[in-house]
Amino acid sequence: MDTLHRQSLSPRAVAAAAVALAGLTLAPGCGPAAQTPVSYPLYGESTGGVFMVGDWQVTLDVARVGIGPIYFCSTAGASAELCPTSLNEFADVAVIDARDPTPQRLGEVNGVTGEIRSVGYDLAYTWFPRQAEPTAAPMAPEGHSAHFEGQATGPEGSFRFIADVDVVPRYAGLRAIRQVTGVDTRVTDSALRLDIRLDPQSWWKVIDFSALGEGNVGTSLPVLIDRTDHNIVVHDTLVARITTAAGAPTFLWSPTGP
Amino acid sequence: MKNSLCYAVLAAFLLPGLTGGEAAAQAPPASPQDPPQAQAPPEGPTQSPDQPAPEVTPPAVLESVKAIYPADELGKHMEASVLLLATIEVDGSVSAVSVLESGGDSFDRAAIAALKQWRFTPAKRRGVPFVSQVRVPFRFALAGHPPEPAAKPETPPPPPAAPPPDPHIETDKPPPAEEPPAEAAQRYESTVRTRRPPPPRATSDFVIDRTVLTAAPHQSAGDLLSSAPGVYIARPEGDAVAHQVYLRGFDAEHGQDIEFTVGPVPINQPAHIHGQGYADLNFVIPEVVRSLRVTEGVYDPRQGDFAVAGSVDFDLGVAERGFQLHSDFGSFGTFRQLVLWAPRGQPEETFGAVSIRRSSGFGQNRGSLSGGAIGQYAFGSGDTRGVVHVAAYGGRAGLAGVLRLDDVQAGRVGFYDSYPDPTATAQSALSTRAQLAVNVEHRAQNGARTTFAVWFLFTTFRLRENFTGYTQRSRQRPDFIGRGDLIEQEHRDIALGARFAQRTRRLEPTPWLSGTFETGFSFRTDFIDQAQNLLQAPQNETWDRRVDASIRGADIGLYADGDFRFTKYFRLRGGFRADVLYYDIDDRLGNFTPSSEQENHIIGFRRTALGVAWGPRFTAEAEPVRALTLTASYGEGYRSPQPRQLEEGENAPFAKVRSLEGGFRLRLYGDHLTLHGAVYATLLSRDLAFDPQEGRLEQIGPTRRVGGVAYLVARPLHWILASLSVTYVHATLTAPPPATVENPLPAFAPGQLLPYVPPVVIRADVGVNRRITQLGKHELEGRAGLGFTFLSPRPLPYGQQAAPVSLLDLSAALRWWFIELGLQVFNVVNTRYAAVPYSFASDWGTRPVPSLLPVQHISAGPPRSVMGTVGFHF
Repeated sequence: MDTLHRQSLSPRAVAAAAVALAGLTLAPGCGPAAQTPVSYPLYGESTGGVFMVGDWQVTLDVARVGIGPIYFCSTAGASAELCPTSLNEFADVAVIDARDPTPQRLGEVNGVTGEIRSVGYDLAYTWFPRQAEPTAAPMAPEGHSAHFEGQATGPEGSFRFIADVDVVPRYAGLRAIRQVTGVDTRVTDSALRLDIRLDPQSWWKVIDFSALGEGNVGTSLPVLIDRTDHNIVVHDTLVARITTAAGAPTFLWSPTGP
Repeated sequence: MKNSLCYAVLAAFLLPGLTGGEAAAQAPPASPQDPPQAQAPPEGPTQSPDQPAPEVTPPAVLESVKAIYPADELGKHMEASVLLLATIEVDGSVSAVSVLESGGDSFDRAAIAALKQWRFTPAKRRGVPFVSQVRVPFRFALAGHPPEPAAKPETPPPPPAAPPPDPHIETDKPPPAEEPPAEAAQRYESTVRTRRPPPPRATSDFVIDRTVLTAAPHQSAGDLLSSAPGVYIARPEGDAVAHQVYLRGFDAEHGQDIEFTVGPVPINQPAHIHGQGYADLNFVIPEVVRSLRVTEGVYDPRQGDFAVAGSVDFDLGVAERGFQLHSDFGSFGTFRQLVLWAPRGQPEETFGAVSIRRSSGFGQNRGSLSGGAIGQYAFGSGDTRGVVHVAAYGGRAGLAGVLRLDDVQAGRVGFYDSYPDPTATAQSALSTRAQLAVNVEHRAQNGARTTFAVWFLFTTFRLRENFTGYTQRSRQRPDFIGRGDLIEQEHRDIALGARFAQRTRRLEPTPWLSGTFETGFSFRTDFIDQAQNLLQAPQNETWDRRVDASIRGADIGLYADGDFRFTKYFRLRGGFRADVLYYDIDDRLGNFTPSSEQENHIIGFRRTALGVAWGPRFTAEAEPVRALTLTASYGEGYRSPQPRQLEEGENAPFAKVRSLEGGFRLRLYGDHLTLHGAVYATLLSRDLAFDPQEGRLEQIGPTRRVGGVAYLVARPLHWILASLSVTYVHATLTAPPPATVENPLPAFAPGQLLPYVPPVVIRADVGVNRRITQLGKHELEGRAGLGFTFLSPRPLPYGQQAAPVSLLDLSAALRWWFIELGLQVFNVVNTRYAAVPYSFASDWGTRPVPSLLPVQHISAGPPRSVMGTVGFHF
């Protein structure tokens, strides 16, 4: 009996062990995570809807640009092969009023902390792997990447124009625009905001309005621009401008403070 | 703040564990008053004092019947001697009698007729009856003759001077107090054949015998592992794919970090297409598993490839002899039929078992059908013995696949369902296995031992599984995209190998130093063909080819191991092991030219590689008092590389593991209570993690695990058993993962937790097994069991965590005469849990705009299931 008594564990030790064990089981483990989830707001803004192109004053009455989805990558390139997994993303499509220079809330960017080095995105026209062909998103302005209505006034008079611009991915599974400049940033937490700035002036500045208005000045019918039947060259010029560094949207992350 | 709390809790956990030594220190030294190791077989020199051969009680005579002198011999006035060998069943009856020395037909028949009426108390191991054999001599003499010289019990022969051979102990026991009738049976010798646990190599070297394994219900041989400390095991991919095992901080996937063996046959498969070290345990029928040796860490020179987290050896044997039929039926249309034959009069290693199982599964696309047979035959006697082992298995199962947790939470797909998509419903797995092994052991008179084994293995594997939905693009034809990421993996492996070991006799260079020395050799060679494609459901059209390779590999292992005792207080075990690995890879899709580049060669990449892995393994053991053993262990092991990832001439970059452990084993109340406590550290140079996009393992860099384990086994009464284990691990990544093109800046934070690894694993097994009453001529026995598993919240990537998991299993059974009725309930509280969580990006078309963010995916664990059993024992 004496032996048994001496071999018993003390009640205090047992109780301490039980309490410690109960506490331990609730802990998921001790250690930092290399990456943590983040979520921050996305805003869109523009340079405005009235600008000069040579001798022509261009006034945009309607300028709606669809943007998204946007996938930010940690890789040097944002191709689907290099970037099968995004670091941050805006998995949605939103529309920016490109006449409005004030920030417009578009939604939320979600993801995890890390260094962003490239971005791939669409302008409301997608060709996901499961889609048989390029498809405009339901939110796409008038079913296009961008929809413009405006008036150009120049030395010869004025004319109206309507442009439906489609920035279409070239291959299935690819983003329409992949860019690596201007997107270097390190996302460390959610105290951020992202502003996408469009510059429609830079897009339209390469258009020869004299040529576009030839024969249309003074008429009531608007000049149509689209990728099918009307002024295709102008349409493609706009697309080329939008998808190259000179005219592509810029991304600006800024802290929002505590 | 969170970390401070964590560390405080950790300290609180470890301190009681350390102060547990207080109780140990208070334990009195061994004294004559201590409960004796009653009737334990004598220990050989290699036997650990803390892990004696199981406490074995030989059979004893309850009722004896005198043999009747044959009437037809009366006129001849003959005297005769007959020596019989009787098999004593667990109920004490004599099931088989054979004649060892004949006294003539009439006398033999008379002796047999008498002996068959004898009743014994059965032999018992730790209070649990098992089948044994006794030799009983009969002497026939006519009245008036002088008393027989052997009428009194003879002094039993002394224990053998040399260690008995593994895996058996033959022990000659003294005669029982009950003396058989003087005239017919003057004495008998019992031969108790049982397996000796190998000497432990660390505190965390556990031998889990069948009494623990059967305490709680288990559904498969792999599930038996859940009773081992620190193990969590799941089968997320159904009956035809290997279990997924977590052991002490290692997510061993399908076996990459654990060396599995069944006797001499290695189970892990190098270079497997579904994961390096893939180990499919489904062919093992749980009813024939006699014990498990789970060595957590690498401290034994016999541990070879894949012994990174540790090793598991399945010891096969059937204690209850006779013919058994078991039919299980229950939830989800599950039916299992077992036929088990263990011929009476044969050792436990001789048996044959066949099992067939079918189930509709607990959710969509989870039906399965499998069948297997496994058998062994033990041959030889005396100094040379052997076992022939043969097994075959085939299984096919539908796979539900994994689900996005956000889809489940949004109700877009049911928790136990599969995505309603052809590429999801086409998921399935098929595997087959056949193996043959012969193991021979010879023990010389001086105690030296030689063992030799050869084995042959043939396996096939075909898996169709889609983890990511629709994200892949064909590399062969880049315009093929969006056809579903249904990965087809095919693997065929023909392997053969051998093992040889030679142990010296007991060496005693000085009076205070004695021990044995062993050298061993192992060899295996594999002939592997494997392929990986992308298929388009439902017609399974191939739309991309990812792997098409043949691999020839060889592994030659050499080891030296000593086991020496210095005085009676200290012991040192250990030695070195070296493995030479060779690979010849014919990668028929290597040097692939993308369509964007101009072809300037014919694709294909053939290369060879050879490397050597070696390291020491040592264990120091001290026994300051009889009840307490202290151990300190260090070992270095390795995991072989995935050959397809090797370059020409590369020195086979092995994953090197270093294990370190210190602990104690405490035995109280005559081994009715044993407590193991240990702290450990494991450093791994190259860890692997599952890549769902390729459906295989990829490197993640060096890792470290530090933790502690406590394991308690209590047998307060002979009919009740309880075990409890608590394992804590702090598993971290110690350097950034290797950069890849897809991830040139892999995220890393010092001290970063390894995802998916549960920091705390608690397991409890409780079993009661006792006689209830007497019904007619037979006893009614009852059995009940409980198994409880708890996993603390598992860290996931991106700072997330999976919910904790608590699982409770219950069982109850009644047995009367030859009939057994049982009920098993798994996941009693119907916990809805993720058997395995994952984190990756996928697109199943459940949202208008796909997300490329890695999100949590789950493979559902089974809900509550009830199984009824009807068994017949003949």
